[in-house]
Amino acid sequence: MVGELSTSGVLRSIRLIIRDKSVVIGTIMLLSIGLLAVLAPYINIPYFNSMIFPRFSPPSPRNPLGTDHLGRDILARVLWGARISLAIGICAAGLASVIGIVLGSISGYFRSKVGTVIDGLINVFQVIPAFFLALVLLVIFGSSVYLLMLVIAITTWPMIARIMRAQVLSVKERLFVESAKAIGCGDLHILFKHVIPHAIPPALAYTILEIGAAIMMEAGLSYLGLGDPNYPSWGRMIYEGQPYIVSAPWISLIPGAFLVYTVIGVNLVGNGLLRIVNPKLAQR
Amino acid sequence: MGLASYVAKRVLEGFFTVIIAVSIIFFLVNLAPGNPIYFIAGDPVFLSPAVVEYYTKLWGLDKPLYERYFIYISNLFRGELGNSYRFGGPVAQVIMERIPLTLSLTITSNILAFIIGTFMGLRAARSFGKGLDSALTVTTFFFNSIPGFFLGILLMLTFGVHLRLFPVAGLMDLRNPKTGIMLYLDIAYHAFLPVLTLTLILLPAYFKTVRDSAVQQLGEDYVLTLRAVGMDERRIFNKHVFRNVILPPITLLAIRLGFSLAGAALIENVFGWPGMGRLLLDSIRERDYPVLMGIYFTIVVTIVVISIILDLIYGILDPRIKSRG
Repeated sequence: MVGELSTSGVLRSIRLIIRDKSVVIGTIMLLSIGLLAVLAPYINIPYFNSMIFPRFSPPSPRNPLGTDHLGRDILARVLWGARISLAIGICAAGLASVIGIVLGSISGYFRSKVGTVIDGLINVFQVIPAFFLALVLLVIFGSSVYLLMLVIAITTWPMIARIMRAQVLSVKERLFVESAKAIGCGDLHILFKHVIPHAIPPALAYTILEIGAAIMMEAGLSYLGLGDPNYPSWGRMIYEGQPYIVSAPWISLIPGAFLVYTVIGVNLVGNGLLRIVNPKLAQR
Repeated sequence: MGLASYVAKRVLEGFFTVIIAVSIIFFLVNLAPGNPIYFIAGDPVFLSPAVVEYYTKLWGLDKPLYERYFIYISNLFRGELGNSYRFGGPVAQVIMERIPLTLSLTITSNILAFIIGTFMGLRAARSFGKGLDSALTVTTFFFNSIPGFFLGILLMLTFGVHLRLFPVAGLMDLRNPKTGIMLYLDIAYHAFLPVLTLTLILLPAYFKTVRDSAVQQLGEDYVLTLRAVGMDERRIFNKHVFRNVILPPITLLAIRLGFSLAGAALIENVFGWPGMGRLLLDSIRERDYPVLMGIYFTIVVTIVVISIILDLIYGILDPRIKSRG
């Protein structure tokens, strides 16, 4: 039996992915913003926290995107903000995905006590509004970039776990799993070598979408003033610019535009991949 | 499994879910560093040891943690949410004042999003692959990718500040207070922009669900037959396809209504709407833990109750779900 992750399968998937217009456009958008984020320290821009410019100056040759209420260069802050937003988005989604995939698989494969406990955990998290929990955790423990990542991951993993569980439940009924059992393979071996590779593609596509959700969540938390005060993040910039939204709208609108651009890119890629790996799931 | 035992099982499950969820927050909040008394007092100048001792006694903070936990849980069973640190009054009262304000935003926008989204989804499927379909898909995709609070700021800037069509923020016109029916109209006028923001944010999911499943129906035999007998396209969609695609968006609506007490915190913050979300943020900032826990308890119970009701309705409608129990 040819697995979904075999070489020919991968080549076929790559061909499908390249043909999907939304994935290609989304990837280009993400690469552009990713490139800016990676290059930010090497581009000739002012230090993001130096307050050496006139305050509230609109976009000009000196400050291409203007300056904020403290006289900081917005271009520099937006580019460094891209680093923070992307880092938090990717790490939080990655962590949520690892937790979700492991727990979801175990709960789907072992329908015993362990499975029941994990199911219960997923159910509990399902009724706790994620944003609420994140707020409480950040206020209680104080904000930092790492805590933001952790908090977003802790509050969003159940979504991936549910998808993974459903996938594992259906994959484990397939014939090759039975064959593996028949020749005496252990449960863990079957789960990790045979079931998870077949069950994982939708969970991975959801992980991509989760990056967008995590970036939005970080922005929302930072907008409430709960972000890491040491680094510029887009949400925090919007928050800081809101009092001047009438007199100096660019302070808020420019980071907002970057935020929307990035999330659109992520969603284009995520939705496209989801359509490819599982046409049925994409319809939700 | 019979319906009665299924109900009993779901209710029991829901009960434990609520207890566990409440316990998690209780311990998080009570293990948090920092004494709430200092936050309420503001400036340490106002604090004498006597005052600290008085409030510690009053709020029961002198008892060990596990004892406070059992007191809290047993109070919950008696419907007691305790007293607010900030306002002094009962938490239930503080929360009840805010609930209608938040629900007026969230229920209105959820229902609007449901109706408009479903209608748009059917309309897009009717012209599948044509210009209107793509236009609607792209538009809703955009609103799905913009954070609600930022959309709120944009709408506020456009309609409130530049066009001056709607008030920028607040619940009512404080400089020119109204009475009677005019007061409600004034509140509705102030609610317009937050409701618009929420509707636009909530709409894409309904649109996508309905459009995609309606498109799937296009190839079904009954659609072909109805077309063959020459039925009007609009009638085919609004009557027959509609029936086959309406269940998922209704489920989505029910789930979202469950979250509707919590769902608008950021947007309430943008528009200065004094609802649950604002109360939540204020009580977190001010360390008003009883109110915080009370809000949380209310939200969790609402979500659990609605999900049980939803399960029951499906259990009755679709016997297969019940037996899976």
